[in-house]
Amino acid sequence: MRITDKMTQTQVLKNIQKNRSELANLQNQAATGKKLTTPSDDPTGATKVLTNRIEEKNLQQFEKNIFFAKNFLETTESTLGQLADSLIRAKELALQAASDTVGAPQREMIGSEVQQIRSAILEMSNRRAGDRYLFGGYKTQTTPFNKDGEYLGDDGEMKIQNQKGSFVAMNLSGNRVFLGRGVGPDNTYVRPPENVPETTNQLQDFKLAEADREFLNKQEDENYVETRGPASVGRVQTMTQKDPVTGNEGVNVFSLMQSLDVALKTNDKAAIQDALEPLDQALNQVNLMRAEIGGRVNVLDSATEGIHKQTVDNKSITSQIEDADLFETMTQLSKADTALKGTLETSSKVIGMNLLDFIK
Amino acid sequence: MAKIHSLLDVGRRGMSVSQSAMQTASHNIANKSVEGFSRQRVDIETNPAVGEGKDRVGTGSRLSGITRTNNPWIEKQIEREGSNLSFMEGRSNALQRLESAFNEQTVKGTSNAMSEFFNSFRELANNPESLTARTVVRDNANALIKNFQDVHRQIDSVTDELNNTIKTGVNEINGHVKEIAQLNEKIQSIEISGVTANDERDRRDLLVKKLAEKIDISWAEDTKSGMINITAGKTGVLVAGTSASELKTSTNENNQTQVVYQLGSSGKESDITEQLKHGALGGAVELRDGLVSQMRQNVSDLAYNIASEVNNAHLEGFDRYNKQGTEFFDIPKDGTFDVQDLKVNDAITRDVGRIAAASKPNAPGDNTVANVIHSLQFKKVMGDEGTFTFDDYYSSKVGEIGVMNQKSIAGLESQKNILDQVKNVRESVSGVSLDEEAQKMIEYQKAYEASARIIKMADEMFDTVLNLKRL
Repeated sequence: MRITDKMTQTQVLKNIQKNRSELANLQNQAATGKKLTTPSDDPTGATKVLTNRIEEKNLQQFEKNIFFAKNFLETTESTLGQLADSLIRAKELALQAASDTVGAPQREMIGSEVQQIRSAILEMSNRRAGDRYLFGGYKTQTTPFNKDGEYLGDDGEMKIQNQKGSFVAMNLSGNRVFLGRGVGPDNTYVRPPENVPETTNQLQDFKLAEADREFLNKQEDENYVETRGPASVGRVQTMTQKDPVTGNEGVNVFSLMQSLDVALKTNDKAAIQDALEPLDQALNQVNLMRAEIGGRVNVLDSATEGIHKQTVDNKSITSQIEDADLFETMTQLSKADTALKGTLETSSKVIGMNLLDFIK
Repeated sequence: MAKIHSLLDVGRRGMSVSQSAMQTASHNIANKSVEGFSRQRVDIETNPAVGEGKDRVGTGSRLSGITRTNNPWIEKQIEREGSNLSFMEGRSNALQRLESAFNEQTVKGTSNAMSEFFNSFRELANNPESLTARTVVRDNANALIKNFQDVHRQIDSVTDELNNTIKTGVNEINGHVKEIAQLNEKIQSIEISGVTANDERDRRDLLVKKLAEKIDISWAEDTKSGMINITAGKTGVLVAGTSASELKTSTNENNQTQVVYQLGSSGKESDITEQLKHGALGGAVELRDGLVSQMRQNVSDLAYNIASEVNNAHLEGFDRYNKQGTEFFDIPKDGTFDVQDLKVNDAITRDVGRIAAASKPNAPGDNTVANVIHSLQFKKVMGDEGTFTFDDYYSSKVGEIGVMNQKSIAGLESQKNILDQVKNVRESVSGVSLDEEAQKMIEYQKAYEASARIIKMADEMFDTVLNLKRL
């Protein structure tokens, strides 16, 4: 083949450029520690990295959500712990007062302590976490219970996302905890649904179902037969024992305390004795709620564990895709360096040679 | 009988031939680096002999012509591969810029903004009563919008650049076309006397190649006149003999630069943009009307779908004031959606309390609607059959551009190699070798010297003859 000067020159230039661009590329990798800097370096890898980043952000958010929900649940739990203590104290007092050795004056004294306990419970029912009432349902900005023990909140459950497609309610509504509505096999009260709407269509259905549910519950409340209510003065209202008509098992803590107070002050021993079983039931009711909280916290804890594991996995996959292997880069870098030196050295010999140099 | 005179003639012709050859060698050396130059060769032939009785005595040599060493097939190959290369080059640059609009390896981009937008609704779900959470939702929505608009602006600047490529390309084409028509004329007038217009042909070949780098051309040489006729695309006759026609650019209704052909200076204009498939202009048109406008549409679709899905859910909700939710994003109802016009509803901008997180009134702690809105992030609502989530859709587009650019980079690399190879072959045939020219210089210098010596010798012979009497 006939070789001309230009051919040698372009060849030399091309080789040097190739070496230099490889060197620059490797140098960049070594400096940034990344082998993936544009999507075209590795399109599938870049897509995966992007997906991982989004996931990582979501995981961070879920962790925040969980932290937040746990905080709320733990505040609720400690309040319920105090509630249980109060109920136990009330039961002790009731037991003491039920004995024959206790006279009317002592009963009246015990009665005033029971009254104190009732107002303590009222205070608990109106506790807040931050600026939100714990037991008001969705009505977090209004005091859930007035001093007569009437519930002003609703039964809304604030659902917090703990992972993709999964939600945990972080509150217990006051009418369950303190009024016993919808506790146990209560077929008179329709509880809010477990599932959370995730699309606009589901939301529309959800809103319709909620309206139905609200209507039913309202009707139920209006027709609520107070079979043995506080109207029968002096008698402990025992409707909170399994209601023969409605099958409701829940206990209205406030009216229970109220009745006990009345019984003590009227020195009605039978009524005091009648209050013992409902007190146990109330305690059970509170413990049931605490168990529910425990269950939710467990769910959140295991979700946190999952999140941590997934975060680590995510990071290692991302790193595998986009991070440069430093040892490999360094080896290649020194190789490329040697190659460039070699090219430059041979080039200087090839490029300067010419017949004219030898003609004198 | 041989004459001393003819000896003088032989010497003179020898000197003249050598001188021409030396001049050609120096011409070659001087033009060594001129693009498109083909080395030239002197063709020397034997001068007709004269009869001397029964013998014929040689009368030296003469110059029969100077020809260029050139293989038209190789030139044609360079033209084709050069056209392919500039097609790819034109795209590659713009693709890289397009890619950088979607590149989130080092900077935060749309994907990040989408995540933050939905996460701010998660934060709102945690705390629907909080004004801070609501403000963050509004700010992140604005950040998301700004991001979409930025991407659009970057895509638009790629489009502008491609339009500019077309405009400057057309200017260059017009310059080349004029020069080719002039060269046609020159070549015809030179070659009518039977010699080859070497340098003019080299220049014309080069211009044809440059033209092919810009635009689709087909051309043919009229063997009688040596002139070439060039057609751009299918219908744009650029050069016909000695007359040249111009290309023009116009702007269409989408604000895109189109290539228009006009016959003569006052002929009918016709849009030939569709016919351009090769060269830098073909590449620019293909990318602009293909991937770039498609990506612009994709970003627009993504923004529209997010906005309308969020709106649908938001309309179902109730705000802090127990009022039914408004639209979250302002989007036109008549389908003339433009990312640049997208904004958060004024009512919400003024008062974040208007953000609807609840599913019913009088429920400040109700986060149902906030939950629905952030759940949209995981819903498959994009694509023809709802096969992608917003994130997937965006990531897949990033992947698509990545693949395109990766292919373009690899293709460009291999096309460069192909062109280099063909150019090497051309160099091997037509390129100037200094060694060769130096060798020729020595050869002809010696020949020149020798021819001069013949004249001197003839002179001496004359002297001898003239001094016969004195001997």
